Amino acid sequence: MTVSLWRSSRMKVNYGTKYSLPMLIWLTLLFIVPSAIIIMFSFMEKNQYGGVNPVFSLQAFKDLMNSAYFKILLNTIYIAVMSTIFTLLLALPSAYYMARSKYKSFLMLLIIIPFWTNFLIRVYAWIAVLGNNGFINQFLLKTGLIKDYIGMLYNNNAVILVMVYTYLPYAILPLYAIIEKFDFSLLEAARDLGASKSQSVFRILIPNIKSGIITSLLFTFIPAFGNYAIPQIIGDKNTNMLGTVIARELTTGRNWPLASAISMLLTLVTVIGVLVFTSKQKNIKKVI
Amino acid sequence: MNGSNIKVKNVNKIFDDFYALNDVNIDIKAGEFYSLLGPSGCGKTTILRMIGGFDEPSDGIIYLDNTNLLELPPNKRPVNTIFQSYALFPHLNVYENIAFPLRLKKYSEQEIKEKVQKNLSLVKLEEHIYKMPSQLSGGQKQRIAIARALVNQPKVLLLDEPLSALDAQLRQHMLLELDSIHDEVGITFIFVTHDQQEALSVSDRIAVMNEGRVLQIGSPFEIYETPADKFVANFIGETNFIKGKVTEVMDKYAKISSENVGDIYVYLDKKVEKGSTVHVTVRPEKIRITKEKPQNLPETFNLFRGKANKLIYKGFQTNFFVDVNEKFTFKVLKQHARYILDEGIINWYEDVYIWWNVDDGFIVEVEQNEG
Repeated sequence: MTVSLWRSSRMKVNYGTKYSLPMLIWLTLLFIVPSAIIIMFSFMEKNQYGGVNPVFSLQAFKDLMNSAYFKILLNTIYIAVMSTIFTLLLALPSAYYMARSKYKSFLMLLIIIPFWTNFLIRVYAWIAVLGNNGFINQFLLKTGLIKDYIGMLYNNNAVILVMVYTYLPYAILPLYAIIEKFDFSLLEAARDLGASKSQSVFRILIPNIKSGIITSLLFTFIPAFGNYAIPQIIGDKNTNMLGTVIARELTTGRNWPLASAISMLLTLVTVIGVLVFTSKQKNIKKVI
Repeated sequence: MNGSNIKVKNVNKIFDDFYALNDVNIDIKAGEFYSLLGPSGCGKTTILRMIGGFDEPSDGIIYLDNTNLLELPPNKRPVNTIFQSYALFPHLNVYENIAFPLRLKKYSEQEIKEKVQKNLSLVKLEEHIYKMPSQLSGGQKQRIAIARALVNQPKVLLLDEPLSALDAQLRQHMLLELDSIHDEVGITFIFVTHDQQEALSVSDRIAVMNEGRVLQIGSPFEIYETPADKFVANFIGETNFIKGKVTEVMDKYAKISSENVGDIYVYLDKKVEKGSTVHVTVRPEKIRITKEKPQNLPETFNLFRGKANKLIYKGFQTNFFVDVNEKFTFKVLKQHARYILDEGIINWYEDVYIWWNVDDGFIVEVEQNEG
């Protein structure tokens, strides 16, 4: 009896390990090992031709203490937070409308179509829209509304605009999925019990789609915070984000330890952000 | 009386050229248990949603006491609804679900607690106060929905097929409970159902609807015993329809000759003329069935000889299908008291006599296009 019990419990453990093995290998090779390498590099001396000298050094972190990097960190947080807020403000009503529409699958197609074009091409396309010779400026000049070009590119607002554009579909999809499952008779019930339209939305709809909102937040905030391509293409030296600085230090700056240290900072802030969002969700469950 | 009366006046609901509701007039008294009964798609739920404020009539007015309900948004109406799906808020526990309308009105925590507990004890679910809706059974959810709807002290409670998701036994139980809650709170209940048994057993009055029209309004026994037309007769309970031509009109009765059945006499509750085609209804339980030729027949009766071609024995009763003249099948229902001892057992394919009192058969429809 004991033996068979022991065996069966032991077999369970074995199967669990076996089934999770591919995932374990995947994560170890592609996530843990690279992360470990980055951590190691950040504590080493820089090699002036790129790469690192295998000597322990805290120089990278001393460099990081420079206030210029702190400014960039703040700017990165600012851009990521603003992009997340605007994306969500657009995604919520869009997802709501899609979920209630008769033309669900058509609207879904419209959301997915941009993915058929490469991300970089779509970012470059914004230059054609916002640039000095872009559509908007040309139109305003021809109609005589303005006399000179308006510089719309190369500032934080342009970067935020393109971020919102890029991550909107990622924010809409999880929201759409959860709103579509939402039982709308609950809103009628809330109205019936005395709630105004906005009360029924804030007290019934939002709490019930909270997990979708958090997923959308993470899907927007994480890639926005670590973004490299958009500030590189749409922005300039005034719109530096951590991602662009890492790339610069890794290539032209030839300071791999510093790039690694910034990477660690970026990862740390992201992890803290994720923990804040998800712990809020846990608190909600506790209250329930 | 805590309830209010509801007046639905000349209400129409038109989609393109389809009348979902066609000139509906309903007058519900304060404190009444009023049922809207009809098959799905007859418009009964639409009326309920209009009273609740989730639908608007194309024209017509709905009054609550003397106020025009249509001018108020749903949250301002002194009316609460029990939804078919219960519509309990899944992110709130039982306590918070019931407290929801009170919190909107900014009651104090103490008042909320008292009211929630009072309403929970009304539906006898005090011990489930901190459970989540997902942890409750269908019947319990139903009761929480009732408690939540009543906590606002509405003047009228709207019930949209509240029992359709429950199993048969629980349904009976909840029906009795609804009835006793109605007695206790004394407000007006408007109960929408497609189940005639439910409607008959609890209502003070019933409005029978079909295809957007109200066909008959009356007490349960009026609806059952004296259906206004063929649809009502057929929808409420089972019945036998006999089609025939009027051959003789007397002062109380008429003689009708049917191709299938032969000559029958019926009670004259409608004016008919000689020669017009009519539909006669006789309820199966009003027809007696015997093996021997019956004795002690009343003064006026219809007697036929037939063959019990099919019978369904149900213990307390038997449903017979009796062929008369090999052309017409009568549904006959016999309630058993001492089946084996006193009542002669009737077997399949046996010859039987069936008869009913002339007063129990009457005309439900007169066909118009007769000369």
